[in-house]
Amino acid sequence: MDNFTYTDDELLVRYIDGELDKEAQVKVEERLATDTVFNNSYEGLLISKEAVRQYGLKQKVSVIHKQMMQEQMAPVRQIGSGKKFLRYSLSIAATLVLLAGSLMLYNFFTLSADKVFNLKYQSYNLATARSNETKESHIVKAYREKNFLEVTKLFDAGTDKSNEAIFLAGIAALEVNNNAKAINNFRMVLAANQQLKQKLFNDEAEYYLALTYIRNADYDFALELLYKIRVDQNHSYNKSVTAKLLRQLKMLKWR
Amino acid sequence: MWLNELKREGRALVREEKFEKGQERPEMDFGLQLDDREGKQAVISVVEQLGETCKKILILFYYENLPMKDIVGATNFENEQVVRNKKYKCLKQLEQLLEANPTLKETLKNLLHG
Repeated sequence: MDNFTYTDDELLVRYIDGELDKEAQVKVEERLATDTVFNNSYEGLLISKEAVRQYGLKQKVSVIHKQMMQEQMAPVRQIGSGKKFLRYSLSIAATLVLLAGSLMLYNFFTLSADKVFNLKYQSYNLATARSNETKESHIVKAYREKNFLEVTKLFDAGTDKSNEAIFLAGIAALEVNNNAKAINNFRMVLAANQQLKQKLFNDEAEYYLALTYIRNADYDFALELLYKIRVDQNHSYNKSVTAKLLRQLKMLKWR
Repeated sequence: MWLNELKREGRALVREEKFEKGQERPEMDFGLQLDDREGKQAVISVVEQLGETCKKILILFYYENLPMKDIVGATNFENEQVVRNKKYKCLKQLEQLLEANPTLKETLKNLLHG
């Protein structure tokens, strides 16, 4: 216990507040057991403390109740028709953007070289022979019969190295999924034309070479050829090279 | 609207938690509550007779259980000793007010001793 001298009440308050040391506490408790007046004072102070607690509890409940009532009474905000319209419009716009985004993502991830190739590829059709005046080569005949293995066999074994034969052998290779051979043949056609300054099967070779490059995932080579075809209005396959095709190739290249 | 509703529910939850915590105070035994309206009103009217400073100090110390140094920060008093002296005087004043209301004093006494 410190050296200050306390009145009984001060001592009791310090006892109630738990501020006395052990020795002082024992002394107070001994006195409480024997001194009725001291005990009554203690009782009075305890009752006062209890009054404060009850008051505090009541105040707290009152504050919480008030807060709850304020929340329940809070007015519901009315939204004007203009704002409502704007909100609905924005919701629809957001939904559309989301759908468009999802569609783009779906297209992006499902796009493949084979898919683009199959969308654009059509078997090459030879012009119909008008008469028997011009005798068709064996390769042309085999090609008309869609006997692509025979076309390849005849080309490899034969002596017909015309641009038509080289090109048809290229298409036949393409039909049997031999990309390397097809690329080789189409390039041979282009090289021969360049050398002889002619245009025999030139447009066809360029277009089908570009398609073969696509299937072979050589997107840079394919794009180079396709850009060339797209800017050439007189190219036989100019209309076949669409902006969509170029966009798809760029996506494939980027991916 | 649903966001506002969520916020409102969130606030209600916080409030309930706060209330629950208040109930969980070791000193706050709900068995020892004034359960009649008259008794509650009597306590309020007696404590309300104290000054604002007295009420504040007593509530912070005996209800909120704040330490003296925090009460010094929450009031304009110079130090803990000054607050301690003030608290003593306030408690004595309240004791005298209760002396003048024997019924309430008896009710509180009964509450105190269960």
